[in-house]
Amino acid sequence: MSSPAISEVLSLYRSISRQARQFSNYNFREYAKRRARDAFRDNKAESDARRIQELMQKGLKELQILKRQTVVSQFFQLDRLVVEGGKELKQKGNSGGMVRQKEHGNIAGVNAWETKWEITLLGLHALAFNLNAKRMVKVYFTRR
Amino acid sequence: MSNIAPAVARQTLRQCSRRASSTTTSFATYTTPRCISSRGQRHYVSESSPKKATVNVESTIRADQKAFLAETGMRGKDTTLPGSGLPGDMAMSPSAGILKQATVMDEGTRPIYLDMQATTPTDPRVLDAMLPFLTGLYGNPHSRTHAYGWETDVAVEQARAHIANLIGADPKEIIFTSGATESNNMSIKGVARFFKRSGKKNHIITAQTEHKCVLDSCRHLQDEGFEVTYLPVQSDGLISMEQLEQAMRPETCLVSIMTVNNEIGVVQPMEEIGRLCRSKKIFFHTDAAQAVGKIPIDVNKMNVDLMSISAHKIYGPMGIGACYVRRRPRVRIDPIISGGGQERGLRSGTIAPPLVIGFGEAARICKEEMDYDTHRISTLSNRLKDGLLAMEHTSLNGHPDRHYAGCVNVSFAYVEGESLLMALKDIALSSGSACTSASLEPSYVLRALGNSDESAHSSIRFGIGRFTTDDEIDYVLKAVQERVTFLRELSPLWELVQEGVDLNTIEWSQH
Repeated sequence: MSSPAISEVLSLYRSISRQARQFSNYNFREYAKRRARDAFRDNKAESDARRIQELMQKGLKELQILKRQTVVSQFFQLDRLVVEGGKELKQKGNSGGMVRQKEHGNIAGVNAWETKWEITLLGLHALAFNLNAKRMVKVYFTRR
Repeated sequence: MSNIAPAVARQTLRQCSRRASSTTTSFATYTTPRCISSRGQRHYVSESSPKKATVNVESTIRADQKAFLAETGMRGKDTTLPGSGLPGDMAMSPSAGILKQATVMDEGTRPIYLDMQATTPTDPRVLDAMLPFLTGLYGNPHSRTHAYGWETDVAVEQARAHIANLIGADPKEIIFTSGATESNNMSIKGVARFFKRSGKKNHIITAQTEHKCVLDSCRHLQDEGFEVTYLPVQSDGLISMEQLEQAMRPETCLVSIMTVNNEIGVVQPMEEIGRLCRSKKIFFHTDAAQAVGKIPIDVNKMNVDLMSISAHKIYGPMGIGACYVRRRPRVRIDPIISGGGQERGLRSGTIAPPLVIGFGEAARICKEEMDYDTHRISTLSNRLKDGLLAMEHTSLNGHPDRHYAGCVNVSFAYVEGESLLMALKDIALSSGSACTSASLEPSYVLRALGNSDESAHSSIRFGIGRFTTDDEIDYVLKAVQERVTFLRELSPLWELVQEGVDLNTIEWSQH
């Protein structure tokens, strides 16, 4: 049994991480990316050809699962998590801004209002949603 | 909460445009075509490129504002829309308004999920294993006469083997039930009723911090004439072995202690309890719904005779669980559900193959990923715990070391837990178990630890799981720190504490 070439392994890694980015669910997306990265890193030093072959087979199986499940994930899209927006803003700060994953439709870049929670006391603790309208909204539509 | 603003805006915009159609000088109708005209002349044949399709909202709005100022002499900002408190800016351009709403939605409104003790998200790999059995492979696993039944049966037995492997048991010892609650009921009532028939043993020992379904099953048995001892726990949540030994009587038939507590995450000394029970020939049942797949478990090493497992706590589907029933030495139980004699006659009824297979896959993944997940969860947990405990007047509930890392229960003194949960609407948290989250009663688990009512009221449980990210933990830490500080600023008690007044010395006036 011959050991797979390095290029094959790298190609599998690239396919997996590219596919992992297609999850519309934030938690699954981050997990899939992280898990793939850690799995390949942990087995970096593996030298047993048989074991490498096994791991490659496992990776291919995971890739098939990812391909199916990312499609399912895209069918049932939900709102984004509160934690997702903040990160996007940070990332595109210096690049003039507008890097955004493709899978979320055609809105290319968002620099939205800061939403801020303020708490008022009116007998009970009531929450008021305060839109900080000072910052303008920049929405760029691009075609994929 | 955040949905209100876009809804109000949408309604206002609709009203404005309706009003605009009756009056002639409203800006809403006036500006509608401007969105298009501001992009310059469009020809019938124009090159299509991403750039052409781009609508620059900012410049459109600016053009609208200029037009409005020229017309009315007022700035859009200074006017308000009738019927709502929204600024006139909102209606400068209806399309821009809609886009703005879209952006707010796009920014993300779903809370972060940190309630992994209540339930966990279904792993995509689990769903992938389940889907074939929800679509094409729909045979009844008990059908022995055709291939549809056989193929499902093979998969079900494989799932059973995965679950058995996770807890170090034999596949034949796994009985599928509808969940951990049913398993608990089956174990406790089943063993007790079986012994009642022989008429000798009628005493059960359990702990005060057990899950409601165990406590309620025991209370039910009390009505049937059993004696139940509810063991108190120490202030760190662990039971004392001496007290347990003292509570044991010759007529004790069952000890039920949970492995990992669902509210405080304390891990009980299972091996010692198991050894003690075995030496006294008492059956040992454990509710391991929060423990299986998260900490290493071996039923033979721990001398466990009955164990309840739940699928939806290990990233599996809801509505399925299992009960481990030891075969050697044999544990005889009286079944609650009788019928066709499936599952060794202990739990009749057709089992649900998709759920069972999902459960099996979840167990297999948990076994395979346990080291990776444990390492990751404890890293995140330590970060969260250190961050929260760095705030003043906070304390960790439960034993600091004999503790499952994925459950962090922290008390914030001088803050009301429910109002903190209200203030943390963007994080899905709970102050205790999901079963009791509807009531405002302080958690009975924390009361059993000897915490005061105030402290039990002000505690919050953070559950970390496989899919929790670093960013989420950072967000949560920041949010909790900000809002606890804010709520404390409002509290008169906090003011007194800052002045150095000991709250216990104050005599509160009665009224």
